[in-house]
This record gives sequence, C-alpha cells and structure tokens, in this order.
Amino acid sequence: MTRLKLFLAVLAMMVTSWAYAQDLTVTGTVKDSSTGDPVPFAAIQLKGTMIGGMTDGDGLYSMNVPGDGVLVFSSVGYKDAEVSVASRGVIDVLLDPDTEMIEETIVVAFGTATKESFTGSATVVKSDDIQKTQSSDVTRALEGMVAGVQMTTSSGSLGSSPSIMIRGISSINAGTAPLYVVDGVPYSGDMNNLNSADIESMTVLKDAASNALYGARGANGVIMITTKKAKLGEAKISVDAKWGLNTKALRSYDYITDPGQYYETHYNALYNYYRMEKGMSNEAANVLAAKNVTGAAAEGGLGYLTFTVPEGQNLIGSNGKLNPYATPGRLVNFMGEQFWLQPDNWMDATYKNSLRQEYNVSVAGTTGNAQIFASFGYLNNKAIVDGSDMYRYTARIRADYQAKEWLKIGMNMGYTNFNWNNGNSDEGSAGSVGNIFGFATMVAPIYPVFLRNADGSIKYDQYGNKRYDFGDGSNAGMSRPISGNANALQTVTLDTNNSEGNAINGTGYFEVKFLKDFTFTFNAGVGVDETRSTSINNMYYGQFAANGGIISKSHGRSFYLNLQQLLNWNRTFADYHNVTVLLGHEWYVSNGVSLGASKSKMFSLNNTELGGAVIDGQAASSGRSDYNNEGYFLRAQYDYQNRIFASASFRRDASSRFHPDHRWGNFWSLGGGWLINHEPWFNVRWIDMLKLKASIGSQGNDNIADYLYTDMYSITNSDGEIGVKRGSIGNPDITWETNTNFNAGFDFDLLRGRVSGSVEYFYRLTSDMLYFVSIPISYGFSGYYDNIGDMRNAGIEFAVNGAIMDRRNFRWDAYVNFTHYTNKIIMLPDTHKNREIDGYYGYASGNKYVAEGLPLNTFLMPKYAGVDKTNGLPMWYKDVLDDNGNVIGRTMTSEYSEATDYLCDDPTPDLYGGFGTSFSFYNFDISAAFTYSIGGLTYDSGYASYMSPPGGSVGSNFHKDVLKAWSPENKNSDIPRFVYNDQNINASSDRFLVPASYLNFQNAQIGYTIPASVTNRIKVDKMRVYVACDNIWYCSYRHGLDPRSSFSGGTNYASNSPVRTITGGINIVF
Amino acid sequence: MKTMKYILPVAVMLSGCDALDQDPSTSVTVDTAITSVEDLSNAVNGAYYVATYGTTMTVASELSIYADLVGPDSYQPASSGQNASRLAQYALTPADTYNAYYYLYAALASVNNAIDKAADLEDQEAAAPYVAELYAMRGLFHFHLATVFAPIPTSGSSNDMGLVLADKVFDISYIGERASLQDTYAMIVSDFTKAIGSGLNMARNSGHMNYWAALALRARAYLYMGDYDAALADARQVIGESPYTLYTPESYTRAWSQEGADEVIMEYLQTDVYNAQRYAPGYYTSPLGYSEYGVSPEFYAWMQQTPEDVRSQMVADLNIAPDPDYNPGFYPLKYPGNAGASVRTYTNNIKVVRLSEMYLIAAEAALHVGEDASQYINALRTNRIVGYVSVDEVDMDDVMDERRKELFAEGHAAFDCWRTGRAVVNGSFTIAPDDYRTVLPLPVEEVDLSGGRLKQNPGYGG
Repeated sequence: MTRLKLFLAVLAMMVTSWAYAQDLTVTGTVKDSSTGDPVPFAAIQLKGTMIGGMTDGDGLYSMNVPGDGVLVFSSVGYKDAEVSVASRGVIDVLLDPDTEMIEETIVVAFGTATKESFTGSATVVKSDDIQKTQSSDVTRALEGMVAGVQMTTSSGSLGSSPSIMIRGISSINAGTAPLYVVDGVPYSGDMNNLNSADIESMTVLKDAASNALYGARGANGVIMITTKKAKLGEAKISVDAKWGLNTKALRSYDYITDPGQYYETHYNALYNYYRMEKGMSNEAANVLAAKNVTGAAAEGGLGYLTFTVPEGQNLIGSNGKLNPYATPGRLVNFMGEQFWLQPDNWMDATYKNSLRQEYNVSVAGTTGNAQIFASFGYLNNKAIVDGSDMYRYTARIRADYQAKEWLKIGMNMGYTNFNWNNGNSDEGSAGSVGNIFGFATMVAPIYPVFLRNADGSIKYDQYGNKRYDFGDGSNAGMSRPISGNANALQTVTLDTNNSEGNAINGTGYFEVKFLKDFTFTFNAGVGVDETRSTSINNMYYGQFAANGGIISKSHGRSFYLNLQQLLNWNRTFADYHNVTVLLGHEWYVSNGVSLGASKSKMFSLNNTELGGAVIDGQAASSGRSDYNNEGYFLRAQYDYQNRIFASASFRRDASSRFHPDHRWGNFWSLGGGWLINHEPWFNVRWIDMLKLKASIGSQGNDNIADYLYTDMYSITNSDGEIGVKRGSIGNPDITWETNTNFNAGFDFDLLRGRVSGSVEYFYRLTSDMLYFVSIPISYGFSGYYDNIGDMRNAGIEFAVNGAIMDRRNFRWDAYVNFTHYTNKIIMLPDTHKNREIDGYYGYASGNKYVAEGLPLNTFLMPKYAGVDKTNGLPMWYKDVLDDNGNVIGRTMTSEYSEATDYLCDDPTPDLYGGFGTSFSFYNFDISAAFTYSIGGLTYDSGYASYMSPPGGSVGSNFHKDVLKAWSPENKNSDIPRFVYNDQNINASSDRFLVPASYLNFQNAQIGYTIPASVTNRIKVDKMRVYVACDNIWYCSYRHGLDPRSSFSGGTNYASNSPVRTITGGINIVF
Repeated sequence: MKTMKYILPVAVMLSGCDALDQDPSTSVTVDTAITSVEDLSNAVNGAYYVATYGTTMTVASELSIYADLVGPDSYQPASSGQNASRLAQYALTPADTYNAYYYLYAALASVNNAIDKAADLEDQEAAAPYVAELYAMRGLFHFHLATVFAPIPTSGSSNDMGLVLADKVFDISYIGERASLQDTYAMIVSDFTKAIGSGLNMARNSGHMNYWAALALRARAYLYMGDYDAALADARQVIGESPYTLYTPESYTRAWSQEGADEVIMEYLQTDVYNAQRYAPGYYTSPLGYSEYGVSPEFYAWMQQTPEDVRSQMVADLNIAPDPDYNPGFYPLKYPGNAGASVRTYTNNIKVVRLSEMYLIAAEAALHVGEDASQYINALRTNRIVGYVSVDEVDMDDVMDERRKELFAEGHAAFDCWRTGRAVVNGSFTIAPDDYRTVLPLPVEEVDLSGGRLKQNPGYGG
C-alpha cells in the first residue's frame, strides 16, 4: 500500500510538470543584496516544474513562464528566493548571501578557525561523505578525499585499519602514522571503536602552523575527528539501517585452474628436466615424466592422482597432453577404506559471500541552554571466509550546557562493546600452513580439499567434523608436497582466535569566561580499552593435535588520560587589530598492561577456558608499559582588518621515551595569510575569496618503542633456573626527531562559491632522524637507535571542488585532487655508507638501497636481460670490471650469483589522489568516488612465485604465462625455460618490478529521498533509501596484482584485502 | 559564587604531576644486572638460553644435526619446506643464515659482558668457576660457528678465512673482520685451555660446561687442527680420569631419553619448560613430525649387516606405515624425546660431546702418531657388540666406519668426511672437501655492514 502511494506521488509530480502553459516572457537582473553586484549563472526554476533557466554572466535573465507561476532563484552561496510572477514582465531579484556557508569553520589545534583566517593547510571531510563508506574504521572514508594523504591496506580482516601517511615518508625507523585527535583530545585507541555514524567531520591538518601545537606527536600530520552534536532547534531522531553483502574484491592472478592442464604443465617441467638436464631422449623423458608426474615428491611428482585413467594407460600421453580418456575423480581402496579423490577448486572452497548489517539510531536536541546528542549503533559483519566475524555495539552521549553566562560545561562519552573472531590470524604469510588465503592462492587445483566417500560425499569424523585433506597420507595414503600435514580451511573452522571487550572514551570540559577578554578551558580525556583474547588450536588435526590442543588466554588493558588547561585572551584594538593569545599546558599519561597464559591437552573445543585443559604451557606472563608526555605552549594570532593574518606558536615538550637529560624539545611555528579579496583595490567579480598563505615550523616525533635509551637485560627461564640475558643496547643520547615543515599556497573560492580549491607547495625536512643504526651482528645485537640522518619530502597538492551544473532540481558536483611529491635521503650516518652505486653512498637493505641523494625504498636488484635463446636460461646484466675494480662495461650472465645489483627506481608514485562526482536530480542522488596512483614501482612477488617451476616446492599454482616459456620448440620466448628443479630461474630481478599505478573505483551510491509531501503525512521529515558499494573494482598492471598493500613497493597475494561490500539502506529522520 | 570563575582556572592550571620517569616492567637495566655472584650465575644461564634459543637454525635445532643433514647418510623422507631439507639440498643463501650466526654471537656478547662484569665483583674466589665456565662457553660457541661458517683446517680447503672473533665486549663503532682460520682455532683452544686451568667445575652436571667438557672439546678441536699428539693426550685424560663411563649394550638404546646419561659430558637441555620446539631434531626425525631427517636406505642396510651390534637398533625401518599420518622412511632413533616430556618430539637434550667420541679421537690420533689404536676401538666395541672379540690392529677406515656407526645423527658425519679429505656423496650431490658448499654463507647483514672489510665465503656472491 505504501509502495503504491509512493509510486503515485512520483507519477503525480512528473505529470504536473508538463501541465503548465508558458504564456509570458519575464526578464530581469539578479543581484547580491549586500553588495549590489550581479549574480552570474544563478538558477531560475518555475516552482513545481522542470522548467528553468539561468542568468548570464552579468546576472541578466529572460524566460517564458505562466503569469500565475512562482519563480525560485537560487545560487550557491545564497539563500533561495521565491517570487510570484503575478503577470509582471520584469522581475529584479536580490539574493541574500548565505553567511552560514561562507563562515566555514575548521577544527584546529585547541580550537576552531574560520576558513578565511586559517593560515595553515587542512582538508575537511564531512559526515555526508563519511557515511558513504561501509567500514568499521572511519578513517577509510579519507581515501582519495584529501590531497596529500596516502593509504594502504595490507589486511582485509574485519576490524583491520589502513596505514595512513600524510605528505610523504617522514622517517625511516620511527613511526609515520598521523596523530588522531577526537574532540580535541589525542586518541590512541582502536579506530574501530568509533562509530562512523557518530562522526560529524574529519579534518586533516598537514602543515606546521596547524600541527605545531601538538608538538610532541604532530610531525606526521593530525587527523581531527569531531563527533556530532545537537543543532539548535527541534529534536531530531535519525534511524539508519543497512544490510550489505561482502564479497571478494581482490583479483586473482591468471593461474592455471584446470586440473588437467595443471598436470600437463607439471609433466612438462619434469619432461624438460629429463631431456635438458639429464640428457635423456625425448621419448625416454616422456616415459619417465609421465610415470613420475603423479608420483612421490622426492621424484618430483605431485603425490596425487585425482583422475581415473583407463587400465594400463598414463595420465599424460606420449604427446605430452592429458589422456583424453582420463576423467576427473578416482576411486581408491586404501587399507580397507574407500576414498573418492577429486581435484577441487581451493579458491571456491575458501571464499563465500557474507552478510553485513548495521543499525544506527541517534537523537539530537536542544532544550533551554542544553544540547544533547545520543546515539546507539549495532554492527554485525561477517567475513568472506569461515571463522571470522565481528559484532560491535556502540553508544555515545554528548551534552553541552551553558550553565551560566560565564560557564559552559560538557561531556562526551562513547562506549563500545566488541567481539571479533579472526580465524585467520596468519593473513599475508604466504608460507604459513595456517593462512587460509595462502592455501587458496597457492595449492594446485589437482588436490582435494576434502576426504570423500566412494559416492563422492564428504567424510565426517566421529566428532562430526568434516574431514579435510591434510595431505599427510590420510586421504588414501596420498602425500601433498605443498603445505603438508596442514589444511588451513579446516584449521579455520576448528580453531578460535577471538577478541572481545569494552572500550570507553570520554571527554569532559568546562569553559569559563572572565574579566572581559579571557576564557579558560579545561579539557580532560580518558580512554580505557579492555580486551580479552582467546586462541584455541584444535586437538583433532594439524600441528597442535600432538599437544592435544592448546588454549591461550590473554587480557590487555590500555588506558590513557589527557589533561589540557587552556587560557585564551582575545581583544580587538582600534577596530582593526584583533589579537588572540592562547597559553596552555597539556599532560598525557598512557599505560598498557597484559596478562596471559596457555595450557594444552584440552577436554573439548567447547570448553574455552584454561580450566578445561590440563598441561600448563609454562607461558604465564604479564607485562606493563608506560608512556607519558607533557607540554607547555603558547600561541598568538593577529589579524588586521580581517585582511592580513599572522600566527606564531611555541611548544616545549617532554617525552618519557628519552633520557631525562634529553627529554625536552622545543617546537615552533610561524604562519601568515593575506586575504587578497578583502583589499579595497581588489575588484574581480568572479573571485569570492583569494588567500595567499605560508607557514613554517617544526614538530617532534618520538614514535619509537619505550625504554630505548637504556641497556636492558631480560630475565629468562633456564630450565627452572634464573637466567639473565642482555636484551638490548640503549643509547642515552637519543632525543626528538625534528620535522621542519614549510607550506605555501593559495585558497580560492570562485563564481559565488561554485568552485573552490587550493594549491599548495610543501617541503618537509626530517632531521636528527630516530634511526636504527645497524651494527654487525657478530656484535651480538642487531643495532641501536640514534638521532642521525636527514630526509626530505617536497611536493605540491592541488584540490578543487566544483558545482558543474546547479539548477533547482538538478545539481552536478565534482571534485578532483592530486599530489605529487618526491622523497630524498639527505644524510646518512657514515657507518651505514658501506657501498657506492652510481655515485650514491649508502647500504643495501633487502632488495632496497638506502643512500644519500636517493629516495627511500629505491630498489636494488639485478636487471633482467632476457632469455638466452640457445638454452632458455634467464640472463642478467653484469658489470665488467678492470683490474682496479672500475666498471668498464656490461655483459650478461646466466649465473644469478654473478649478476650485478643495479638501482631500479622507487615505489613513490608520481601522482596520486582521488576524484569523484555526485548528482542530485529531483529526489535522486548518485555519487561515485575513485582513487588513483600513477607511477612508482612495485615488486610483483605473487607473479614471481606463480612463474616458478617446481623444485624446492612442488604442487603450487602456476601462472598461465608459464605455458609461453622458452622451449626448444619455442625459442623466441622472453620467459625462461620451465624446467623442474631450476633454482634461480625466477630469482629477484627487475623482471618482476612493475608499475604500481592503479585506478580504483572506491565507492558508488545511489539514493532516493521520498518527497516530503509523502513523508510528512507520516510525520517523517526525511526518508531516504539507498544502495552503496565499496571497493567496486580496480585495475593495475597485471590481473591479480594489488599495489595498494604497502608504501614500500611490496605486494602480497596471500592476503584478503580488499573486500567488496554492497549495501542497501534506509535513513529516516523524524 | 562569582569568584568561582577565577578560582577554577587557577586550581586546574596547577594540576599535573611528574611521571616522566618510567621503568620497564619485565627487564632490568644494565646497572643493576650483575652485582653479585648469584647474578653472575644467572648471566651464565642466560647465555646458554640465548645460544639454544627456541627457534630455527640454532645449536639446539637444525645446527645440532647440520653435519648429518649435509653428510653422506642423510635422506629426506618428506619435505616440509623447513631448513633441514634446505640444508640437505645445500640451498641456503646469505639471506638465510642470520639465526645460525646471530644467536651464537648474541650468546657470546652475553658471555663477554659477564666476563667483564665479573672482574668488578668482590668475591673473586666464588666467581672463578663461573668465569672459567664463561671461557669454556666462549670456546664452545666459537667452535660451533667455526665448523659451520669456516672449513675444518685439515680439510685442505683453499678458503683460509676463519671467524670474526668475539673475544671482548665490542665498542659500538666496531666492524667485524674475519680472523684467519688458524687464529680462530687458536682462540678456541686458548679459551678451553683458560677454562681448564682456572677452576672449572670437575663434577658431573647437565646443561653446563664443566672441566671434562672443555677438555673433550679441546681434544676435538686439536683433531680438527691436525694436532694429533695434543688430541690424543686430551682424549686419554678424559677416558682415564673423568667420571663418565661408556654405555653398555644393555644401556645403549635407553640412554637417549635420559638426562645426564653415563656417557654424556655436555648436553644442551631441551625440556618441557626449556626450549621445547618444533625445529628440534626430535621433530625432524619423527615420521609424524617434519620428517626431514631420515637415514638413507644404504646406511640402514649397512647398519643391519651387524645385527649383533646394538647400534643397529638405532635406525628404524618405518616404511610400513602403521598410520596414514606417517611419513614412511628410515629414521634415526637417537631423539626419542625426554622421558616424561609432554610432547616428546619437541624435547630431547642435544648431546654436544660423549665419552665414546674420546675413544674414537684417541684411536684416530693414535694412528696418526703411530701408536696403538686398537685398544680404544676394542674398548668401545666391547660395549657395543655382544660377543665381541678384540682385534689386534685397526686402520683408518675402521676408525671412520666406527665413527659413522657410533656418532651418526649427532653432528659429525660430513665433518668426518671433509676433514679426512673425502667427498660427501649423497644422491646427486658430490661435495668435495674444497667445495664452497662445505661451509655456509655468512649472513648478508654481517657482510653488508662491514664496508667491504669482512669477506663472504667464496661461492656465495662476493
């Protein structure tokens, strides 16, 4: 019935729009009521119809309308005006500026600033955009929305958080994550404990003028998160319900999935081995390879025959092809038991689609001098693999009360109860037998997932568990060479990896106004997170069966307290000079405690407490860590006629991570802004706001582990005796890493606010880097921390938002941002410059070269020189040296150990950012958001692994490109030969360095707001239904490659990220 | 009431307290660590703990059977992709040997630090046995490193590079440089000698170096150096004076699960509460474990030719699998697990040196110096072979065969081949004594930080 009403209402609306006759021509001018300037490109709409027009560049218009119609004039930055035509031929209209829109405020350190007076660099993301992302971690909504912000996601586990980096890599060994500040108080809890439905806005502060007051921890940028508060007016109740479907979004490499083709390919590797390496004739090689392909791993075989082959025939024929009479599946009688062996698709067995549900209710209202916001949220999210799900309840209450004309108090309390199961704790570890994603992507398609009865049905054990094939002989005596004695698919269903607990984050404040110009604010923030974890390794199957199952319990509590005392003084002199001074003190205490124990030999999987197991694992432990800091600060701001702005700040900070003699650091900033459009001489009509701004300042970074300034011994159990061992070597001299930050740029608003944006240049210099100085390991320790080394990041950011079209019932917005930066190491300690390559002095670190003058993460590896067409072996370049060791030329070698390592560029993109668009058309709204990255390299380790011939490991997946490998019959291939036991054939080289560029369709949403005329009848202010999708699609250099998992150019094909979520929802406000 | 608005800010402005000084909860700082003889004793324990740390590629895991894995009689019933099978394939690269190197050097750093601190203790007399033990440990850990990362002197390898010698607490600006092979063994012998001469405990114990262990290991070091007179003298002293006795045919098969068995002069402990782990030889030699270390069918057959020899019972034909989880193969039975351990395959004390090796060293050295070797072989065989009849004469082949029978699976096989000029032949591998693969590569982390001063072993890429 309701649906019919809705349909009729829509229909009625559309029909009426054609019903009017246009019988009168109206002309006129639209002007700004405050300045008298014409308003160009203002939209004009005949009310209740689709008929409309717009003013020209001089604010003039002309259109045909019915004499009794009503015209609605609108333009961005103005309030709408409705005028009855009343048969008039000329209608001039004055539009009132919408001051609320222009006076945009930005949340900054210890306060707010108007957009105009702000001299730093900041980007705001509002709740409308935040709500588009279906994530338990609100920071994911920043992806692609903020210039300068880079994000990577290495895990798709529920409750995992992305890594965020703002304006380049600030440090080599100290942390590079930004500081989160929630409602003015630094937040160190789990981002998943904040409900994104409660967030009003997120502001990313990027430069020194914005961050310096967070001295201690602001060096990597600050993300200010502001929770919702009630607005003036009648109470609003908002109900939001979403139901979503999670699916796998990570693309697979193009590997061989057909079991027959896999057997052929493996056979081929053996065949090539026998004829090329063992000198056999083709015929003899064929016979032996066909015999061994399904034989034992020691003979190079796959260990399993999962096809039925006619008696006396081979699976692979003399032509090297699958026997056409072979059929998948085979019945085996083994030790008196019947087994049906069949090749399974491990990918399909691993992944499933799953449900996500989220419900949020909030109430916001004002009564007298009090504002109250309260919310409740419930999230139930299931992963796309077994054994993982997440429940979360959140509640928040925020109250602000103007108790006296001089006193305002408030508090804001958030509570979260969470319960996560993450069955796959080894995500990303390709070789781990406990990593389900590793299994899904590695195990060849010929192997069974399950043990089956003769009729093909899955076997069950006496406990009612499905029998999975562990490749350990349990399946008809067959041995799987890859990941033997393991099957992560079963482990995930039987094991437990659970965390549940409660988090409370609260802030309270009072604000006192006294004398005439003084305000004193006291802020207190406190957070507690209690998590209890249970880990169970089952007693039935896998590596812990021998122990009879292991149960581990742990409890952790983290606590922080932040106190701020802020004294503000504000005075305007002679009407022109406005001065604000802030004096403050901040105190931050945090600690964490842990307690854990384990036992083995469990009674039952259902008894999930230590009491249900009998053998003490001798692993009882507890620990505590403390980290505190304290700072004093002063900030002065000045503006002259709201035209020239200047700010200066100073902060003195101490951190418990440094020795008392080196604990305090001084940080400062200077900023200036010039609002050019407020100059009397400025007269460009289409520019509403033009600001030139610059800032410089320094901040500190102490983002290293605790207690690194002192040598430590740790206490060990030496078979029941006390042992002490040297744990680490400390350096008492370490102190703050300093980040000096310069920012300059323009902010602009054009065409009555239709276009706004900014262009900025930044230069970040990290000096006295907290650097882990490696020492030769024969010292007995791997190294220590010191303040040594300089690095810089420099780049530009550009962001623009615009309303491309703006009519009364049709609006089309778009945004784009991009960032380009370069990173360069300026100075390294002498002890680390043990090598010189192409004139750069530095050291090799894995497959990277860290050197003065080069970007961090510059790749260092042999360069691939193609295939030796005569024998199919890969070749790499090699320097030719003269007697003095000077390079005099370059040659090629097939001996990997002789290949020379060369510098091969770095992973930093040339350009990255996001773009998106949104339309609203009558009651429909559509949006789409993209992120992109251009340039930079990534090492495609997944492809390298899939391209490797069997040998060291047997039975892992092959990329289809191996079918194009060099062979005596295919001598022109660029892919080296595919021969069993070839060791270095795919050794690390620039052959696997590929562009890290990607285009990612991040999010799309389509919504429909039911007309107020309909909803008002049921006392509903607003009702909107929508469908949204996250992680829709991405493309990269190679199918299966996802370059978005690390900043340093690594990829991981054994992880689960990203997950696609398609959600349908309804939002009701009443 | 109005005055409240002045009082509140002032009161709150002054709050705050000084808690910037924080101490770690589970560690002690250096100044307080070694201030008494008890502390010194704890530091000794800690150094063993580090050397045998429960992870892959330590002297309590794969390194304890390294010479067997790369030797002529090893065979891999299964490949679980672990380091044992990679060692057996000679497949380790400079990126893979960090643990093998680091844990011993970390233990050496603890040893040298304790030696330094001990000098400041008041009660030097009480400290002396611990200091002597620390020197013995220093010799032992260097010896482990030398056999893995440098050739054995008598092997005739053209690689004459020894170890970076950890003979003191290094300065932070230190860069490792390799001593010559000769100086390396000179230091090993000198540390054992220092320990022997400075009050080292002479009583039997478990898990600690004592006087006899230092002497026995010095005998082995002399043997490896080709100093046969000295080797013979030390071995004789251990045989003649030590409190250890040879296993008998009756006790032999039972001895492997016991702590402090009759012959064991030095063993690394691996118990339920200490160092239990999956990389232990017990798990590698279990058909239900990694199963990466079995013996070759040829070795099994050879051992079975003398069924009257109790040692023939120390290899098992587990090819008839009683259980589908088995990895069928021929397995050594020297790692049955400690008696009473909860997971026996994870726990098995690692025998560092046994008395029977002294008989074998004495015999071999005696042959070299022209003395009678048969007495030692006869004494050993009498305790191994039921109804053994003594022989009058033995030659080098007899001694080597005896070593192969007596010491297999205890970290000797490949060394015995190479140091006597014989190649290891196993499957497709033939590794002559001067082959670069007779030693492991130094870890890349060590080489790269030396600014070219520390040379990698040849064959492993500069």
